[in-house]
Parts: sequence; C-alpha cells; structure tokens
Amino acid sequence: MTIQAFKPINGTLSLGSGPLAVASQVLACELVPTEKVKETDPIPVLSGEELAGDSSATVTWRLKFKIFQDLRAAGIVKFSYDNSGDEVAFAFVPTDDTDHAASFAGDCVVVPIKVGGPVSKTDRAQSDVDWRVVGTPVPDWPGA
Amino acid sequence: MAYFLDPVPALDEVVARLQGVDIEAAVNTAHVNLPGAWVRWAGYDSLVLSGEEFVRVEVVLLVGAMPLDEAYRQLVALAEEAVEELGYPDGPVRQQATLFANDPVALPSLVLPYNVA
Repeated sequence: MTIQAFKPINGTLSLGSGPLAVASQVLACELVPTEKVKETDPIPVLSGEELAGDSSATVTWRLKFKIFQDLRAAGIVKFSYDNSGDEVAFAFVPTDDTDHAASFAGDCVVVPIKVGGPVSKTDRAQSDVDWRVVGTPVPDWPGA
Repeated sequence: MAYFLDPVPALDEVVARLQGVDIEAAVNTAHVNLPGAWVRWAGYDSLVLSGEEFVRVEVVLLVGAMPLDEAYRQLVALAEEAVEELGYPDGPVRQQATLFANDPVALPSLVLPYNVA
C-alpha cells in the first residue's frame, strides 16, 4: 500500500466576488465540519410500554483561518469590516499537489477581524478568523 | 516552481540599506570591516498558504576586541543606527562572541534577526 498524504502548501483562499486573494496572508486554513446530534428520551406510558425516542443529526461548517493582519485599504481586515454580516463567496484550495487537487467553495458570513494583539517589537500581528459557512460547502474532486 | 527562495537578493538589500546609513556591511566575512555588520542567511520563516515565505536574515553587528564594557556600548550604538534603518528586529536580539576563520580572536557581537519578504 502507498501512503496517501499531502502537505497543505501552495494553496489558495479567495473571498468575495472580487475576489480577494488572501493566501499570502494565511498561516493556517481549515474547513471544519461539526456534527450536532439531537436525541429525545423514550416516553414510558401507563401500560409499561415505551414510545421510542428520536435522534437526528445535522452537520454545520465553519471556515477557520489564521492570518497576518493586513491593515491596508486593499487588505483583508478592511474587507471584513466592509462586509460585516454579509454572506460572501469563498473558495479554498488546500494544496497544489496534483494527486490531491480538491477544491471547496461556498458562502460564509463575515465577522470583522480582530485588530492588534500583544505588544511586541519582534512579532507580526496575527488574528484567528472563524466564519460560519452557509449550508454545505461544495467540493470539487477532479478525476472523481 | 522553485521550492526555495533565493536568499541573496534579500541579503544584498539589507547590506545596501546598512551601507546607506554608513554602517560597514557585507555578506562575505572577508569583507567585513570593524565596527560593522556581517549579514548572514539564517533560513526561512513564516510560511503562508500561498507557499511564499520570508528569508530569515541575521545582522551580526561586530566591534573589535576591546574591554567588554566599551564593546557593549559600541554595539548598542551600532544597533541603534541599524534599527533606525531596518526597523525593529523580527525576533529576540542576542549577544554573542563571534569567531571568524583564520582569526583566533572572538569578537563581541550583537545579532539582530530580520524576516525579509
């Protein structure tokens, strides 16, 4: 068996209709699914029988990334202020590895990005970004 | 696509900027005049999703062999001039003794790290 793995490098992340290409600012990027399970308990009745409980599950998604803050007028921080609360398109390509050339597109809700951080003479300011994805991202699996 | 960024343009840029404020600077140790700066390549830093990264450059400020208290004062004065031009370093500044090939004397030095895009 051959181990199948890729290195998350030489990828892209673009935001909005522009689109704004931000991969040069991005230190880490993840498209994260979370399962939420809803269960109800069985309901006993007088006869001793039980009405079975229900369970259902939904999956929600978040686009999480870490960036170098960019306070220029053309930068991602201003983009986040300008589009606060808006649904914007995103496209994420994790790698240029042709064996793992999947891409993911969808819409996410923009929240303004944190500005500043610990006082430092040496470290560049960074922010963790965590935006809700609307619906389910659409993957593209070339060769599938 | 090249896997590694050529470090020489970044080194040359730092040398030129230091020379622009009258600090003797060179990449090759044979060309370093004291007091002055040896500008050396220390690797890469801060990889981003696009694959770009910074060239890690260390500015090694050097003064001649002398009593250490005087050497430290001269190093700090030299560092003030360098930081005025290059900005705050991109990492901890450290003091060390530096030995060059064919010279048995350890030189007092101060190392200023920079990430050059």
